[in-house]
Order: sequence, then C-alpha cells, then structure tokens
Amino acid sequence: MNQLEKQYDDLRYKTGCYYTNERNKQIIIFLLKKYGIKRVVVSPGATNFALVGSMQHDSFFEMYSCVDERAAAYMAIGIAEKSNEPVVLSCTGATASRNYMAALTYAYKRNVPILVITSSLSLASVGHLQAQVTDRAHSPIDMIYKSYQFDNIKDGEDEWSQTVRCNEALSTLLDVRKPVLINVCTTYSLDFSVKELPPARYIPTVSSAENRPKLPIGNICIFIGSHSKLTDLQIQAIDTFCKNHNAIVLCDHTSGYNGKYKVNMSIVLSQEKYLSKHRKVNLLIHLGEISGDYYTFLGISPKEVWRVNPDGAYVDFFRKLKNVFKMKESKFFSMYADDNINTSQTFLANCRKESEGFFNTLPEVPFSNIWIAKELSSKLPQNSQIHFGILNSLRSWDFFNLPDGVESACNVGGFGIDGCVSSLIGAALSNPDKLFFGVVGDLAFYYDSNIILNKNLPQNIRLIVVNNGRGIEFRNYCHPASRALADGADTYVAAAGHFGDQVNSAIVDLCKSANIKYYRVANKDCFLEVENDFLKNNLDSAIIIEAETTPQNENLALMIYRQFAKNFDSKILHFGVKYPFLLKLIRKIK
Amino acid sequence: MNKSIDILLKSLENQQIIKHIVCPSARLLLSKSEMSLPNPIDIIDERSAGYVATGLCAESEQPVVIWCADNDSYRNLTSALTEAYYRKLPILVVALSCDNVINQTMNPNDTIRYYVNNTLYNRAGTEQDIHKAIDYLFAEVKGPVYLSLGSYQEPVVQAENAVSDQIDVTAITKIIPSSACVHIGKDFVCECSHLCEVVLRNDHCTKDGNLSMLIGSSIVDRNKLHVGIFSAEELAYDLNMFGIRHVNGNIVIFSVIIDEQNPTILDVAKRFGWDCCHINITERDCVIEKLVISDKPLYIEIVL
Repeated sequence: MNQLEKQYDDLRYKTGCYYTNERNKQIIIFLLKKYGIKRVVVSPGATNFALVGSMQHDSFFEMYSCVDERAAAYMAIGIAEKSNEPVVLSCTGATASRNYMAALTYAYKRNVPILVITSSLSLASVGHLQAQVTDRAHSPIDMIYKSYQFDNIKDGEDEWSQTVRCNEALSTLLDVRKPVLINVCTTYSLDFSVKELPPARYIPTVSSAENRPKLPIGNICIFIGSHSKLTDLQIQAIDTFCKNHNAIVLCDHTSGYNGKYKVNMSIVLSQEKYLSKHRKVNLLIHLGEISGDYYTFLGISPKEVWRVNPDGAYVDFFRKLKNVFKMKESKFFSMYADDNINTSQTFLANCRKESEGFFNTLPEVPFSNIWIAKELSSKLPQNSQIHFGILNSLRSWDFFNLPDGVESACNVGGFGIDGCVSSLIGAALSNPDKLFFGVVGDLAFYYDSNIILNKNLPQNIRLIVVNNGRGIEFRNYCHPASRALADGADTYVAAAGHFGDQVNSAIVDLCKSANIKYYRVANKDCFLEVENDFLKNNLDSAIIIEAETTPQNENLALMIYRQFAKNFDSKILHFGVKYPFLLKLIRKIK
Repeated sequence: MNKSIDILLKSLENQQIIKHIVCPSARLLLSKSEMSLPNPIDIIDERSAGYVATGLCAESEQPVVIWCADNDSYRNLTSALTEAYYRKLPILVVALSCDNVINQTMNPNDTIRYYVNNTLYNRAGTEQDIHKAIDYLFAEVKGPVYLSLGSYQEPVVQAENAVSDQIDVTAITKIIPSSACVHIGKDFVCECSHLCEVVLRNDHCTKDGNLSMLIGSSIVDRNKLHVGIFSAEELAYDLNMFGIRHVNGNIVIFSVIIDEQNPTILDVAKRFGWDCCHINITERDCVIEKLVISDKPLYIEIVL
C-alpha cells in the first residue's frame, strides 16, 4: 500500500463503531463472509453508510474507495478478472447506480462476477419525489443476471425471505459468474453497537459429490411434490437410498412415484385430535414441484431440509432449507447411496404400521367425494390414468392409494380450477389406448364445460362431476372462509346458486350433444349401480357421472375422517385451537 | 439507412429542433457513413453528453437531440436520462444501430418516458416512428424519448471495429518486460507473444473504463508491473482515476498520441503525483529503465 492508502486503511478502524443494527445488512454481511466474498469497492454517499460503516469495522473485508461509480465498476471488473473472485460494489442512492450500467454490461458479456449492492430509502418511497430515490425495480436483461429488493425488515417473514434470497444471490453469483444486484434499503440507523454479528442461515448450493454435506443421523423422509412420472433409474436410485438409510417416501397422486418406500400418511397427518410421533424427521429431502397434499406437508415436521432439483432454485417451502443440490435426483441419491448405511428400515415399518392401522379402521362416511374415492380408488383398472380437480377432489382422493399401474395427475402447476377437464381430455387425446378417469367438482366442471362442445372428443374418458352446488372447498368446516362466514360464504366466496343450482344441471344436455353416456346419482346405492359400467375397460365409451352430494355430507365426511383418531386431551386441543400459539407450543413439547 | 437520418433531420428542422449533441460512439458511426449533422455539439464522454443535453434543454426550454450508438455506450446516458425524466425535459435520444446492439426491452422505469421502437424487431426507425418520436417531444407530459434507427440485421453503418482502423503498437510492447501485465486499449493491435499476461480490450465496444480496469488489476497483484497502452480518448473517460488513492508505483500508462494531444491529461497526472514524460517513439529506449515498479506511477505520452 502507498502511504495514503495506509493512512486511510488505519482510519477505517477508528470509528468506534461495530455493526449496524439494521438486520437486512447484518444478513448480507454475515453471508458474504460465509461465502468468502471479501473485496469491496465503495463509492461515497449517505444511503450506504450503514453497510459500509459495518464492513469497514470488519477486517475480513478488503475495501477500496472510488468516487466515480462508473470507474468503480470498471475497477471492480479489473479486480475480479485478476483475482478470479467475485467483487462487491456498494453505492448510495440517486443516479449513482446508473453509472455502473455500461461497466456491468461489459461484465455480463465477459462473465465477470460482480455483486452490486445499491442502497436506497424504503421501496415504498419510489415515485414520491423523494430526493435521491430512483426506481431500481428493473434492470436491462443483458446487464444484470438476477436482482433482489431487500426492504427494511419489519418481521420474521421479511427476515426469512431475505435470508433465503441473499443465499440465492450469492450462490448464483458464484455459479453463473455474471452481475447480480441487491438493492437494500436503510432507515439511516445510527446504531452501530452490535459487537457480534447475529448469524443468518447459510444455505449453500452443492453441485458435486466432493463438497457434499454429511447425511444427518436419524429418520429421513423424501417428500415429492408434483413430478413427472419417475423413470426406472430414478426409482431405483430412490429405493436404494431408502433401503440404506432408513428412509421413507411421502408423496401424493401428483408425484409420479409408486415405489417400494411410499407411505401414504395423508390421513394420519390430517388428524385434528391425534399427533403422530412419526411426523418428526431429522432430514426431509424435497423433490418435485408444487404439492396439493396439504395434510402431509403441513403435518410433517423436519429438522432440516435439503432441496434437490436440476434447476438449483432456492425453494424454501418448509422454511428449514439447509442445502440446495443443483443436480438430477438420481445423481443425488446415487451420491449418498453408500454413505452411513443403516438398513434397519424401522422408520418405514413404523409409518406403514401406523398408516395401515388407520386404513383398516376407517369409519363410514355419507355419500360424498371422500366416499366415492374410497369406493373407487382400489378398483381403477390397470393401465389407466385418473385426473383430479382442484382442490377438494385431489384432497379426498389423496387419502387413498391407487393400484399399481394406475397413473394420476392434477393441475397443481397453476393450481386453478379453470382447465381440469380440458387437461384430462388433452391427456386422453395423446393416448387413445388408455382409459382416462377424472373427478372434478361442479365449479371446475362448468368453468371448463365448453370443452364438451368440441368436435371429435376422445371416447376414452370417464368423468365424475361431484356436484354439491358450490365451491365446497370454502364451505369445508375447517376452511377459514367457512369459519368466518359460515353459510354466508355461499354468496360469493363459494359461489353457490349457479349452473342450475344443482336441480337444473345442464350436464345431461352437454353429454347428449357430445354423445357421451350420462348418469346422475344422488346416493350410494345409485352410484353402485353404475359403477361397473363406469369402470368397464373399453376405450370407445365415454361416460360422465354427475354425483349430487350436499355440503353437509361433504363436511361430515371430512370431519369424520379428520377426527376419528385421538391421542390428545380434547380439552387441551380445544384450548389450543382457541389459542393457536399455545397449541404450537404444546406440539413442540410433545 | 442513411435515408432515415435524412428524414429525421428534416422533420426536426421543420419543428425548429436544431440542437444536436453527438456522443463519441455516434460520431464514429456517422463519419463512417459520411453523414453529418447541422451544428453538432461533440462531447467526448456519453455521460457528460447526456448532462450537457439536460442543461441545454432546461435553459433553452427547447427539445434537444442526443445521438448515440445503441451499444454499451448508450448505458452511460442513463444517469442523465434519469435527471431528464424527473425534471420532465424533452430530450430525444437517437440510438444508432451497430454491432453489439444492447437489449432495450427492459430498462429502469425512470429513464425514458416514451419508447418509440425498443423491441427486438422494430428498431429500423420508419418514417412513422420518426413522426411519433417528434410528437412525443411535444406531449403534455414531457420527458426523454427513445428512437432507434437502423435494424438489428442491417445496421446504419458498417461495423465500427474495422481492423484497418486499429493502430499497431508493437513498437511499444516490445520494450515492456515480459513479466508485466499489459492492458491494450480498444484502438490498438500489437505483437505481444513475449508477454505473459496481456488483456486486450478490443472486445469492449466502448472506450470507457480501461484505465479503471488496469488500476483494479494492479491492486490485486502489487508486485507485478501493470502497463496500459491507451488512447487519449480512452484516458479522458477515466480522467479522475489518475487521482484515486489506490494508484501505486506498479502502474505505467502509455498514452498513444494519434492526432493532436491536449496536454491537460499530462498536467492532471503530474498534479496527482505521477511521474510524467512526453516522448517520440524513436526515443522509446530511454524509458526502458523506467519500466519497473517504483514509488510513483508513470505516465508517458508517446508519439508514434
């Protein structure tokens, strides 16, 4: 260093300050250190003083000063190219960051890893003529690879989100090696009294076997959200892993897995008066995409989560994410196949026993989607496929296993009710040699009903429309809308009274025009009469059954299924439901 | 596509819009296509060109036109466009198509108020586009207007990086110690096989930042001599970097004099504590002994 550099380098430690109390910056600084990113080029200003003031106290950071932001960005490129390491840029508000743009365009093209940390007043202050506040929400796509907005942290949700996103930002920077932007807000806090940096969850990306973390000891479960049908290679890799690590697979009818280690815990974990001791796992390995299996994913309690997906996205669904494996699932499981082998399979046995115990003692329920699911699920013919409407149909049928050789699907990608029947018909068109079943509610059917007007509809479809005259989801006793509005939810939230109000349903007319066989049933006996025809394995006879149920029976069926087991003092439970935070505490202790 | 420029100039003249500020990147493109603008104001740095425009526009209360290449150099206008946006100044940015066109489909919301043709496929600049752009300048709510001329596939002019325009500086590189790290500016070519570390900036479609990148590199390895061979035009962009406190004695800059040289850069460098000299290429051997790490950075103006 020259004398001037030395003089200012000494001065940096003479502020009498430690770290800022602004949590969003604490998270960034903590994680920069964890990821080993130490070089920082700082341009002068007020809005970044909390970040800079904290960094300069910490000798980990090698800091440089550059007045002109354009030059600072180019200087950072020079440093990064020479050192082959990422460099941080820090600037204030106003037009400061705009001067980075030409250099960042160059860095983007040359794959130079620059982390741009711009500082700002709160995001809400944009557009209100506040001095020095510019709009940093959008950046050119050939300049910034990914950008993040870190507002001032107000609650745990903000902190969690920024922690995960900061990890994602730094991992992306190291992986893709293109400029990444974090726009972090400040309240201009003068409090620099924090001597020890509070930790932030460190969530690295793992992309090769060499730096893989150790598998935790204890119960392991693999949770598969929606997934395309797993290949033989994937199934084999999963099964070998489970065999060697006392693991189970939790999944539902959208997961594409029906292998040896599957356990259906939906009913068990749906119980409102029973807590399964198998809900706690040391490690949950998260595969696949969006899941509609609410009872399972809400009931399971992992200590830590590893996400495995070739896209490497930072998906923290369970809020316990610890590692992201950016690789194919089969590679992940093969990688760990022989680590710390434990072939006891006690976890599988115990969960199976518990689950089967429930299935063997299922109580009777009235005529409802759940009853239909129980009645039909085991009888679906081999080599067929069944589609479920969002959401009540999926939930009802997720309680039950399907026979081997029966595939299943549901529009959980967008999670809307607007195309369930069309998707079923699309699938049927793709494979005329297979029978395609479907179960949808009345709203989902009518939303999409004009699909029936199309010419040349495939004949290999068998659809059940469970018509309870409304969006029954919102009238389920446990749904917040039902709890708040009771029957009043029918007016708008559940949209009752449409489509002939059950009495004058036009499904019969639609079927007639499309030459589809139509049945209307309103009780169990009537359903059983048409069941054989519905299940008959011929590919040239489309059938639609309109099953008329009532919201009362749908509710009763669900309540019976969710409350028939008990291992909890019901008074405590009642108290806990009234004061949910206490229930949470009690469950934690248990 | 010179026709588009002609139509634009005539249309602007009809509206008495006669102030044209020309960025270096546009000047090059226009001269190669043998186009000229009436009474242009040439500014040596896109960033300042943008701010000259805001000052001119605010004071004259008339629309002003900035001409710029539609490549990385355009991004240096962004801070001035931010200023113009918030002060609602009617500035027309004419972005001339060239090689290395940047993506204009997403930009900060508070820079250009009116985009005429910024998608990937409509950037030719039709007569209709031109009239639209001029109409925007007189809109109720004023602000910067973006107009692109010349299509993506058929740029307004030929590529600006023709090899024949580059200057051979082998006479300089051959006296540089092989252990040095050498950065070569955009306008230069050379024979440098004896040098173990060479960074060529001919892929950089603007001329800004080359000195800054060299300084950045020199910070990482302070035990290595870092030599930059740049034009005065390039150094002018980074003028203030001569005064940064992180400049050390492991830096040597050759400023290659192509046309007339303004002595100001040398004066500034000297003021900021650099060792300075001005030599002819035939005298280059007298600086060989200076090409070592010392306690001061070295600035050499060299006439080829």
